[in-house]
Amino acid sequence: MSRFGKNSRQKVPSLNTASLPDMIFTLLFFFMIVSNMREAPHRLQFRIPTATELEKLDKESLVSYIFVNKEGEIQFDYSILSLSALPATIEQKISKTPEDKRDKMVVSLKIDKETRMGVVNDIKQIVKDSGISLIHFAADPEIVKK
Amino acid sequence: MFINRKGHEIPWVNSSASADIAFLLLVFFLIASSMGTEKGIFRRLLPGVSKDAPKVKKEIQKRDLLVLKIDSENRLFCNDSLMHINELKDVAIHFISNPYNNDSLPEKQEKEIPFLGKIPVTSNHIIFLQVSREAGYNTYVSVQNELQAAYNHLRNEISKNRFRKIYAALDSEHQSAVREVYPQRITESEISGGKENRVKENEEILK
Repeated sequence: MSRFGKNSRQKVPSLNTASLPDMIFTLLFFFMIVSNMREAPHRLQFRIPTATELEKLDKESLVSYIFVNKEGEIQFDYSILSLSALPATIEQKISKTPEDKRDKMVVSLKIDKETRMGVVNDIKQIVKDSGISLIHFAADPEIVKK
Repeated sequence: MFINRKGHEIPWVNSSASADIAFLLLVFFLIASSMGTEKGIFRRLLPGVSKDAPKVKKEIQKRDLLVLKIDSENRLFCNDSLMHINELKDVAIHFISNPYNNDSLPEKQEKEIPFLGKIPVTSNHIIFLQVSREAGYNTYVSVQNELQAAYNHLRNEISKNRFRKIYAALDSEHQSAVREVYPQRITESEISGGKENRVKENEEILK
């Protein structure tokens, strides 16, 4: 058939890529809307418990994270520290926050489910003494069996 | 200079690189962001009473108190009897609402509440949670979760009855009215070696 015959005069039509950036931008905006910026990198390994009655944590910038793994090691925001160094570090964080926003500060506790309650209670006491009144026990949604 | 002479074509901006730029941006956002929204259980810590403050002894009636205990082997005791965590929600709902005005359950007091009028409220009830230092965090969270489930159940019930909406869908004024009907009163203490250490109070979150 003449269709497949070599025709030196016919050029291969080029693909029009003019709309490619637009497509990528659409993807970009999608991801910008759905995702939120990553919090402090996890230096410890932990698996948070599951629960059903969950509330969403917002007001990102006013959230401080405390991570605790199975062995009771503690990470506050970016650094791993001991329990005795925790009050001073929280104090520092509070002093950096504008005064009118201090009562909205939240501490999110991301604690491994096998951690002993002793450490958890100590951390809660420290947070309470520091003046931050709202804490948030991070948990994953649980699939409810019906 | 800018006169379009015959035979000159208008130059096009070469846009083949803009896709690459957009890709770079996309990759940056994929790396720098995380998808999962963060969820969990909120608790408000009441500021501790300073040591110099005069001690005020508050009489707590036995009927107003629900004592929960998590021991070092992650067992849950309710008023000294062993209980499975699944039962806790119903027990807590029964305790907080006291539906039949039972003498052994928290006392109800008439309270004037905006939007709702006069409603008998068990405003003095206290759920007292004792946790061993050796208990696991998982058990603690599931107990807190069950208690939250009990409060949510009651709050949803009254908001559905009165406002035809679930509690979470109400605006903040109505929510605080509903919270007044079922105030969250959970007190925690820690047990180490059989001894009670200190008392912490968690109460209603007011967002």
